[in-house]
Amino acid sequence: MKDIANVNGKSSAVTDFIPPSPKTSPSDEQISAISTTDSQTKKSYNYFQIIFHPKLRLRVITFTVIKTYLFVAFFGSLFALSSLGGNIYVNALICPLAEALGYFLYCKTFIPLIINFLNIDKAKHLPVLLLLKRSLQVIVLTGVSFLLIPTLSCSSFFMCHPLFLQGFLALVTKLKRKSQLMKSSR
Amino acid sequence: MRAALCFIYGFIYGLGNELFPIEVRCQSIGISDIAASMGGMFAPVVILVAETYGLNALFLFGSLGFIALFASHFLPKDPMNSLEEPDEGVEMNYIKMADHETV
Repeated sequence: MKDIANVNGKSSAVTDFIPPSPKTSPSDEQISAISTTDSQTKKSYNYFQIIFHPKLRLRVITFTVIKTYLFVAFFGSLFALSSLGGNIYVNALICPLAEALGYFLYCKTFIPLIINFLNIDKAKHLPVLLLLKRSLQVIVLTGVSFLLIPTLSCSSFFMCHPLFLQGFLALVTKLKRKSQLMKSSR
Repeated sequence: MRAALCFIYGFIYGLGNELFPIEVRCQSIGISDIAASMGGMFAPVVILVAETYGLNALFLFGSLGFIALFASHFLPKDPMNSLEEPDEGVEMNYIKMADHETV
């Protein structure tokens, strides 16, 4: 166009009808941020890089260990209901109740995270790893508590146990005696 | 314990999506699923072993969680980070090692 205009001795026609948009708008910044992250993860990975890529290999092994443990514990705790003691049918009733509690907590934490994640202005990374570690700690603690207090199973009502009641009454009487002694000494 | 397991169950799937790049996501999650299914098959064996040795089976499953808890420390703090960039934890360890060598 410019060459033709030069030959005719006239100014060239304006071809840029759309004015350039300002690059400082927040939406453009977000788009540029997304494009940079895309360019960072542009490298393609083969099937064999699961084994040969050091980071990927570590991630696969770690993820496999955690998931294997989860499946073992999930199905194992289901099968071990008979070893809890007490009525098996009551155990079978309490087990889904505990599951429902777990799923409720999961939904309560995860749904607001998803809502936050979908909102681009408040986009935050999901703290999945932190939650995973916390819940693993809970599992370890509860697993240890099953050995420390074997009578504390789902169906055996610990508070109603006669030995516990006797011990509790003995403790109360001891405390009463101590308080009486303290009063008399004053 | 059961509630905590169910609580984790959803997060482990979310974590799998974040950990692996899209090209190898199916393969890596598939490998871990195979291993997990094998683990599920061995769950009754664990109960039998616990009963024979006079242990509480639930204690055994809880104590096995130590391994998973230890393994979770090897996961990157920012899974969405590219695989080519150094992880924060790895970098910190490298700095610590370098300081130790200089001392």
